[in-house]
This record gives sequence, C-alpha cells and structure tokens, in this order.
Amino acid sequence: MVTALLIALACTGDDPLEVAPLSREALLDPASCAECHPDHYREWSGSMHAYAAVNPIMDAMIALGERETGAPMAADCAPCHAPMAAPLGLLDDLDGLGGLDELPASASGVTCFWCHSASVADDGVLRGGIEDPLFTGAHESAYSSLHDRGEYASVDLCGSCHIETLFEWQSSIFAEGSGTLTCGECHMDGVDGVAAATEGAPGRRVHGHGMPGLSLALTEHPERDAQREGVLDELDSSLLAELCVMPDESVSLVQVTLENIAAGHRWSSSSRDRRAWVEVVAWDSAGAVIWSTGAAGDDQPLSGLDDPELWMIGFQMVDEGGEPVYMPWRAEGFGGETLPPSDLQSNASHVSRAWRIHDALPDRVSLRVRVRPVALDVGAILVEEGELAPEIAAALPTLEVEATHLEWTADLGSACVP
Amino acid sequence: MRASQTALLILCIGCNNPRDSDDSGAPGGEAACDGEPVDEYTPGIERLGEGGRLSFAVEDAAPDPPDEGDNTWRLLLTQGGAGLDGAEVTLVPTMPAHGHGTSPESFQGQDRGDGRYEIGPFDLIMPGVWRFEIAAGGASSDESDESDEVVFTFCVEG
Repeated sequence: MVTALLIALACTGDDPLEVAPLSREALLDPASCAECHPDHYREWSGSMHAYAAVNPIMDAMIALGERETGAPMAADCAPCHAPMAAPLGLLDDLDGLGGLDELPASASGVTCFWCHSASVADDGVLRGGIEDPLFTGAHESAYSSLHDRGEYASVDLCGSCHIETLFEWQSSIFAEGSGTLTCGECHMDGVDGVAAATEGAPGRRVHGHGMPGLSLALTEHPERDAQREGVLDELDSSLLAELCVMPDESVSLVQVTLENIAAGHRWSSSSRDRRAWVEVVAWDSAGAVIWSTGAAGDDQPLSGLDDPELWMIGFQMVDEGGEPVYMPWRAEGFGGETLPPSDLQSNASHVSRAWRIHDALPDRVSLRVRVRPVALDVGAILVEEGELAPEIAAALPTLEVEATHLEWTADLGSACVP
Repeated sequence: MRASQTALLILCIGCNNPRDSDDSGAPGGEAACDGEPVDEYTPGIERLGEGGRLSFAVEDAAPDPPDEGDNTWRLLLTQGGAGLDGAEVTLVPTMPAHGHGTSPESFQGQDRGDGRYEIGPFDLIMPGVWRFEIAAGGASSDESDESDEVVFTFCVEG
C-alpha cells in the first residue's frame, strides 16, 4: 500500500525533481517499474526473461534432474534464470523445491533491477544507455555502456548468460568493422519515444524489452501474441533459401541451399533443445506425393520419423553409447550441425544439401524450413516421467521460416527458385 | 559454491572485450553506422542519375526516415523538370558490410502517374548502412535517353 502510494507519487508530480524516492523493496519488484516505464514493463512482462523462472519445461527438468541425480539443481540454474535469488539470499531456500517457480517477484526471472542495477553493482542506481538521464527523484540514474546497445561493451551484459551465443558472435561478421551489430541492435528494436512517462521527459530513442529470440511461453503469460509476432519476425528475416530442381524421368536432383544472413550467431542457436529441419515434398502431375523428406506433422517428434535423408539443423545430445538423449545430465556429448553466421573470411555462409528422386518425374516441389524452440521429445519425456502436464507438452510450438517457403514447378524446367 | 557462481556471473560482465571498445556510439544516435559515409536522409532527397539523364527523388518514405523492418517509398522520377511516366523502376537494397541484400532481391515500382512510383514494402532486416540502387528505363523506344540509375546510401538506425 505504502509502496504503491510512493510509486504513484513518483510519476505524477508536476516537478520531476520533487517526486518521492522508491524504496529498495519497491525497486526490486518489477511491477514498480510499470508506473513510470509502462511500455518497457509491458514488453518485458511478455519476454522470456520474465518467464525464465516459471518456464514449466525448465522447472520440470530441474525436478527430474534432482530426482535422477540426487543432486540439487535449482541453485545451479538460478544465476541465469533467477539472478536476483543469490543477492537476496534465497538460494538455500531452493533446495528440494524442484524448481524456481516459487520465488517471489523480486527474484523471479531476469528482473529489471538485475539488469539495470545489480548486474553491475547492487547500489540502488538504475543504469541505462542514456547519457544524460533525467533526474526524477524516484531513483538515481546513470549511463552505462553495458546498457548502450550502440556500444560494443553491451554484449557483455547479454553474454554473461548467453555465453555460447556470445562466442559464436565474436567470430562473425557482426562483431567486426563496419558490420558490427550488438545483441541489442538485433533483439531490441529502436523506436522514438520517452524513457519515462514523467512530466517534461525528453524524446529519446528507446528500445524494445520483449527481446524476441525463438522461445515462447507455454502457459498463461502476458503479451503472448506480441511475443510470437516478434519471434516470427526475427525468424523470417534470418535465412535466405534457394531450391533447385533438375527433373528427369529416371533420376531427378533436388538441391536446397540455406544461408544464415541475419543471425549474428549460429542458427538456430547452440541450444541442445532446439530442432530445425528442412521439409521438401515432391508431387507428380496427378497431385500425388512421390517423394518427401522432413514431412513431420506439427505434433510428431523428429525422432519418430523414418527418414534417413532428413536434414536436421540442431545439436543432438548423446549418451556414452552414442544414443540420442534429451536431458543434459544423461548426456556424454553431442553432435549435429547448425548454420554458422557469416564470418570475415567468407562473408557468407551457404550450406547445401542434395537429394535424388528415382523413377518418378516431379511436377511440383515445395520447400520450407521448420523450427521448434524445444524438441517435442523433451516434452514427451517429462510427461512420461510425471514432471510435466501433458497439455503443456502439447503446447510446444512448431514454427516456420516463411521466407524459406519456396515452390518449383515443372514449367520452369531445370531451374532454381527464387 | 553458490556464492562463487554468483561472483563468477558478475565478474563475467565486463571481462569479455575482444576488441577495443568503440566509445563513439552516442545513445539515441546512429551507432550502427559509426564512421561510415552515408547520405543524410531528408524527405524529398534528390539526386541526378549517373548518366545525367534522369533525376531521382525519394519524395516520401514510410517509415520516415527509413528504418529496420518493412519500408515503402514514393519516388519522383523527372527528366528536364517534368515527371516521367511509364518507366520500369527497380530498387535493389543491399547491405555491403554483410554482403547480402533482401529477400526478394529487387522490387519493382508501381507507376502512380506524374512521375511518381511506389516501391515496397521491402524489408530492411537489420540496422546498419544500406545501399539502395535504383534503376529506371523503358519509358520510350529510345531507351538511351530515358534510362538511368542512381545510388542512395542511408543509415538504418534500428
């Protein structure tokens, strides 16, 4: 009540210099930020950063991992999924909880206070990428290059948790010379607005805090439509595709080339849970399917496909016998491939795969690249182990990279599209 | 163990600086294009074609200025001060530093009359320096008189 009153006072004063300061308790709670930073809060509330500690897949994996290994895992996940848990002294409380979803709002997910203050120094100063922050009295403000997406240093803030992605970025064309683009320049779109909804706030270039990547919330969560739209936008611009067909009655050749043009890291990242694959379907002149690869239904795990020619894009964890596994504590290694980003040597990153169609003349061939933020096998195992509700596993999405949806038709002859 | 994990996480922020930091990127500025020569976009920006035969103006851009995402432009094509109708106008956006363009690679202008052509939407997929090659021709049988091309280079801030 008192906190709410202070927050309301903080942003309604006519003179920005006379607003009431927020207590530390208020600063720790992301909801407090909404009063003065409504757009930033709304965007963040729908982000995977806000979802990081309540993601049911992660909590189910922690529960299963603790059960199978006998070792506490929640505290190991907290530094990235709930980084305020340690500064608030909550790590010991996580033992045996089997997840992070019981944490208070002040420690749940990657909070405003963590990124803007405690990640640098837990001193109550809120840091951002604005060189001349307006003094509002609500809290102290300061410029930090870690929060300025135009600065190279800003990659360190993201890279403290997205470590493999940072390493991939460092060797890419996105990290050097005139082509440099930081994490925030791709994942935090800019828009002209105000940083704080206070009287007299100057116009600023502000940046989205939804930070879409590939993952999506599986349960009730704010801004789900906006987040999905952001993810699909990111996906759609990430790849260029080419489909080439050389038709012949005895042996036709189909070749697909993919180029990761817009991700400054491997596509679709190095997460072991991701699954992307290439679907190619060929029809004859009567409209019958004569050949296909990667033709998985939306609810069909790739592991269930009898498809030795499948082009899967993603890393697969394996046990000591080389058999596929889906839980990290069961894994001894991993294999597979993802699409690398352009580097300074090649300045392009094309990857191709070819197939042959025997004894049938294609009249139409279609291509699309599909992607799953989390492999369906992961959900299926967690359900089977009793750690995940079936309806949540059923909500695991299958997405499509729209720009890769190409079609060749026989009237083109031996040709490539586009 | 847990305290050390947290300490490691905090220490990692700032410990990774694989090249000298570029301090010139002013917040709210055009950091994505630092140091690159670009044309300063203003509504109506106009330039004579490389052949000196046609003049090209970006009369209107949405968004204004050009930004990351879908963009649509209205071009004004003139010859000797008069609008030129019936031309085939093609736009090819590319990002030289990354060696790629857009998908599709080129966009055709729609003739709106009075020398005006609408092009787009074309998706500028990331911030940075973008090069826009615009070619026009075919407005008459004597193509040598009425074909020309021009290049604009704009910073897309994102």
